[in-house]
Amino acid sequence: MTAATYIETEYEALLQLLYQAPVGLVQILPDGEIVLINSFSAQLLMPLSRDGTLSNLFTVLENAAPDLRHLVASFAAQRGCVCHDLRMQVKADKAGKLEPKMLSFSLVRIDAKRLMAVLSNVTLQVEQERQLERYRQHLEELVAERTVALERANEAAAAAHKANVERLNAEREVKIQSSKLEAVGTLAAGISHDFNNILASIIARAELADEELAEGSDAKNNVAKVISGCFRARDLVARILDFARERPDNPTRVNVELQVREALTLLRASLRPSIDLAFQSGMGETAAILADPTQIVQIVMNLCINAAHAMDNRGVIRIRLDPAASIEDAPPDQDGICITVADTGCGITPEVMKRIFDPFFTTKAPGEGSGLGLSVVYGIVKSLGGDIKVQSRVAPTGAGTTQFQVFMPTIQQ
Amino acid sequence: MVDFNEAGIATQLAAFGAGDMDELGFGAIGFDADTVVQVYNSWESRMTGLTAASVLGQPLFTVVALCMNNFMVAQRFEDAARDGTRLDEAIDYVLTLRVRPVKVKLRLLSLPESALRYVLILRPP
Repeated sequence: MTAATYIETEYEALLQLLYQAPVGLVQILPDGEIVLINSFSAQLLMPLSRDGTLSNLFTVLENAAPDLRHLVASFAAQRGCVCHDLRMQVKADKAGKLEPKMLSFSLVRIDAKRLMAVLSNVTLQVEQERQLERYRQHLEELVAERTVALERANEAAAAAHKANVERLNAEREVKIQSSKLEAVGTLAAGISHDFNNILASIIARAELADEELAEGSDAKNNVAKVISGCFRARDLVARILDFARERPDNPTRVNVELQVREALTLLRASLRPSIDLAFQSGMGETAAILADPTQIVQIVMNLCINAAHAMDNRGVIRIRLDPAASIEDAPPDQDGICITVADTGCGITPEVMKRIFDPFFTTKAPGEGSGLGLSVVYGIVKSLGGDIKVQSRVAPTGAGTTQFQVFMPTIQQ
Repeated sequence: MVDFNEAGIATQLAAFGAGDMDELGFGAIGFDADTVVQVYNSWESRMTGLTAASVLGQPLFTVVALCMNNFMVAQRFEDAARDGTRLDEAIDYVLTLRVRPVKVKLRLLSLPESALRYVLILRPP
């Protein structure tokens, strides 16, 4: 093969490559004049031509790439390749339909006076990138939505868990308290009968002995004290039996206000005159519960006696009767009545507060209290389906406050 | 005078005798199954400056009209031949080889029963 034949063969190959290449190849001069243009670029660029010719690339692309002239001018003096993206409407499909195309426009410097513009159709690639970006944004939105939903679900679950734990703790406290009462009640019921018999025997024997002793003798005085002590012991046994007593077999309709007033009447006789009892009722006089009438009296008397003791037998004990619905922070399941007993005594310390309903727990001096009063109240209220709330502010000087609120379900008129 | 857009033009061309092609008012190139040019009418010769003698017997797509050697023109003929189907499509096109880029309308014709296929070229007035 001669050199001339080789060159001719290679030229033919390059020419075939030029016209078959699926990219646009346009050879231009620095002023934009088109020297050579292949089929692909001719089909892309002709729709942009205003005069139906493709003589100058700057003219053809003056709308699609207004800065092309400057780009070529700045590039003509240097070697290498520069890329520029163009968006243009071209007639490139077989049906001749106008479609938006994204072209990648590259410039390759051939020599000082000739440049080759390379046009690639990157519409599909750009669309895929846009689609990918849309998917990414959509995914981010989904992730954000899901994250918010999960955070809300977590917060709700945490709140539900906290509420559940609090409820379980409250139920556990109630069970513990009930177990204590039940244990003591069983014990009291078991021994009280025998203990009463023993006391009756002692009293009977002591009274017989008392009849035979001379008036004013030391022995008679001593026997009198024995008898007195036995009666106190019998009262204590009676209170233990009260505590151990379960819900009455035949509860009746009890007018709450009447029983509260009766309890206050009894209290008035037993409390010192320096204690005032102030009663107010926000309920109708017909408000009633299903209970043993003495249970209401026991509740009011025990709470008021404790209040009087806390106030060192001076001050005012306020007793109120209200609809439970009118009480702020009333237990949610209580919509009956509320008996409030409030004092201005020394208050209850947190340590004592934890044990005030424990049977036989007392802060009174030995011999002054049995420690059963609040246990009895607790047992009665719980047996009636009610609840008790206690609020207290400690002030040893006597300026504190303690407020018991007893909630009990009412019955229809 | 046969019109460029006439519906049955492929059948008419197959029946043309010698010299009929030169009567057409648009360019016409006829080529065989091997893409060798067999017809090059005088209208096309005037437009391109190529004599019929220099073109006849030459491969159309690889020598005479490289600018048609692509998926838009040559590929359509190959597809029709392979599938044995009729080809009659008119497309907007830009010719580039040996001429200034010029916007034309091409009509691509191929009948399975005909020995020759035709590219008709309608240039703007």
